[in-house]
Amino acid sequence: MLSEVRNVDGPVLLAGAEPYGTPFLIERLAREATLVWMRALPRDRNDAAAQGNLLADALNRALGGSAFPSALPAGVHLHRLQRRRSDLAPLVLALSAAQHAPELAAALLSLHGDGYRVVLDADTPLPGVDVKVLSAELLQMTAREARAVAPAVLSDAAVERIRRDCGGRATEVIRRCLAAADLPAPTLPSPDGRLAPPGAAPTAEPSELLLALRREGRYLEALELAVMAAPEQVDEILQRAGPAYQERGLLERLHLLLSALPEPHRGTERVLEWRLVAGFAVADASETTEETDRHLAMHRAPALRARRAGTLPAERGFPMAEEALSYQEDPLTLFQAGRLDPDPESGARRLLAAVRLAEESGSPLEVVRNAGALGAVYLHDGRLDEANAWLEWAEAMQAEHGVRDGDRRLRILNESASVRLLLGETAGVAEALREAHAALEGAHKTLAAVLRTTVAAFAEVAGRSDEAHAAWHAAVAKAPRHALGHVALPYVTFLLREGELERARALALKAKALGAAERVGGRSGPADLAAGLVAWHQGGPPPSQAAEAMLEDPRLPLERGLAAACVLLAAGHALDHLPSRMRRALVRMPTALLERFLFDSRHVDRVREALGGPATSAQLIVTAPTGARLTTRDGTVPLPLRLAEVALLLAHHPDGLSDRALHAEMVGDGDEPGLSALRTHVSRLRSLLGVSGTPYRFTEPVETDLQRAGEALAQGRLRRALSECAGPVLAQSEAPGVVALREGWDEELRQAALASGDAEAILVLAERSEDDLALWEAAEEMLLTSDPRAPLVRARIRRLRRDYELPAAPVR
Amino acid sequence: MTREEALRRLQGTWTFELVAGRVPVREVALQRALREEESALHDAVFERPLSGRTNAPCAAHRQGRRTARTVASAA
Repeated sequence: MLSEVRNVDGPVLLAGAEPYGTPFLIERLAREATLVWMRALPRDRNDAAAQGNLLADALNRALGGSAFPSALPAGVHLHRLQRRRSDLAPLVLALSAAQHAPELAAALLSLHGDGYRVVLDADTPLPGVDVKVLSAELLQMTAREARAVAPAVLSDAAVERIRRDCGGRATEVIRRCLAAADLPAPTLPSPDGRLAPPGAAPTAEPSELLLALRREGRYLEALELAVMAAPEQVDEILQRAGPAYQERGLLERLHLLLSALPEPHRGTERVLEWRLVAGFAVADASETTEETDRHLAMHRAPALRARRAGTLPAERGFPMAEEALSYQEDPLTLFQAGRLDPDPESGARRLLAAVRLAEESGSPLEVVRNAGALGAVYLHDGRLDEANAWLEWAEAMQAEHGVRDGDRRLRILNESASVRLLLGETAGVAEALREAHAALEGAHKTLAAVLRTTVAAFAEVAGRSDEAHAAWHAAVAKAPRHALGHVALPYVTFLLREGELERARALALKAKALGAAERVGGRSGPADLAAGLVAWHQGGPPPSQAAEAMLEDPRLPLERGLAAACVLLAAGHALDHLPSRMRRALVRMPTALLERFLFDSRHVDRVREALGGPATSAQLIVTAPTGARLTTRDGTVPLPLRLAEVALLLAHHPDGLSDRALHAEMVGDGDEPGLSALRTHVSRLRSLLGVSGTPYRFTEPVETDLQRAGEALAQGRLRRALSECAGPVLAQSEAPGVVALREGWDEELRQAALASGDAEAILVLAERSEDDLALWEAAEEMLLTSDPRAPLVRARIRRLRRDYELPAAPVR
Repeated sequence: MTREEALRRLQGTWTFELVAGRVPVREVALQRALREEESALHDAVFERPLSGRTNAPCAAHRQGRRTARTVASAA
């Protein structure tokens, strides 16, 4: 049987399932490569999250740790498996009972090859799944195989008789041979441990099984059994099962189960609470909402009341959340009241209490949820450092306690990325965000939409213009009508900065036409500001009125508000004029990042002055993977390598460089290019920046990203330094002076990272280096074993040690 | 969703089945847990706490661990 499988190059379907002993065959494959083994169940059919969880759980079991979160469709994990193939191969991905998850089976096939082998096992062929089928006839046990597994006490003739009677079905042959020899029935291997053969399993009373499942912490199954056979226990089991279903992204299944409950069990308080949560998740809550409101009219029901508050618009939900809180103070009631509170200060106080209470007596999920909400409130209120601290802590708690809810993880990543973008500390999170977004596109529309605008903003700031265009374009194309203005405003600003006036105009007009829904109480929305920016670009007045009107909305997201605030400052309004949350954020942000909100560098200068900052220097970027660029008052231009080398060397020699000194830095001992060629480069640079005669020096301030990174490092701000420097200094340059700067900086950064004990910083450098084993091993040392990144780090170390022919590292 | 519709959609997807009022248990580990349950039934129900793998209380009182209190005072 094994040789039949090995002889097939492509993926294979074993069309025989358990009766033909396929579990033994799959288990045997584990000797050849790491086995990622899934077993689908009837409940997984048509459930994208359940099938995603099957794959994630199997990967986490095989690789250790929790690198693959729950609640995400399989496509997200498959994307990661593709990207990490060189680190993770060889793998055998086996899906048993594939007939219950044909969508997952079809998706797995795309992975086969280059170190990944896919084996499917089903009791019937799978329609629409293009795979080599090993039929039942091919899987029949041979006489030789039967003799090898049968007890020695049985004669050859007896074994052969049993084999023929069973039609060569391996599991049955083994069972009958053991029975004939008076030995206990065999158990079958499975991803969930050993199983009794089908039809030979002992039975249990539902109530006893329920107790055992609860003791084992298997609340998903406990709820299923209770709904089927003990509905009176569902209310109690939901206390643990409800959050478990939520964390695993299985609210659709929960909705189905709770809807199947008979009266009176479907109307108890906790059942109503979770029917409400699950109903809203699947947009089928109208009946439950009515029942809930009738119940709330007669009972305090603080938990149910808090949940109901969360389903209402904030103006109506907040009073209800406060009422729930007045009846009972717990992580949930504090969370809802804090989240919905229109006063950010009192909201933050409540959420802080929610986090503390969850830490003492709640669940890790509640801790993470409440800390994430606290970070979001601080972000909204312009308190960037506090927001950053809490979001970072929420991520750390997720990793530490193995909170597997992938949906929540990604939303917190998105918030964290937004804050860090405003603070200019993008290193590490930029890569995580891009990877997540790439994995979500096509696999999870809602989450992809949430991340899309953040990915676009990151691409803008990193100077990856094409990527920014693509991301903004997709964000606008897929934005719902009522949110188009919010997405259009930053894209219009970007297009104007890029000189794409017609596209900016067309988009602003479209957004304005559709933007009526955004105008709350007649106030202007972002679409009006976008249209005003286009007019301003064309020589019209600054759109101060639209900006002021937007800022009157206390619920306006901070980033949109910052755009409006920058317009007002550029138009000459005073800083005091702005809402305090805008002032706080603007004063805290690195001024270089304000460019994103304006299309003209002269406006940026005025904003800097208003914030009390120094005049703009020209900005030379030499560490961007997309190539060197120079930003002056006249805009941003890419720099060819030679010009970039000259500019970099002049920027780092403020006392000036003679002809010969510049030649030595550019060429060393060689002759080419000669002095006259160098003078030509200097002349060309003069068309962009003020450069004196020899000794050549800049006659205006020029700042490089390398200098800013160096300053940040000198202040002990390692992550800031990493954000300023996105890669090696002029990677293609062989000019001796540039090589010296590059190697010196790389080593300085590397030593600072290794000494820092900051796992995230070390990981960023390790990823950039790809094959610096010392960095990867330092990262592994720093990470908690429960950190989701740990298994992938370990896989990289194993590969590098193999590539460098080093012995395997000791197991941690 | 009505109860009838939910039951119709659940048909064929239940994780467990009932055979003459009892549930077949194929998993060896679960069979073992059932035997432990049977032999210590009284203690299990009234004295030992139920485990909660997914929702265990979050004990953040380990040395050097950043708790909500430390984050709040630093921020």
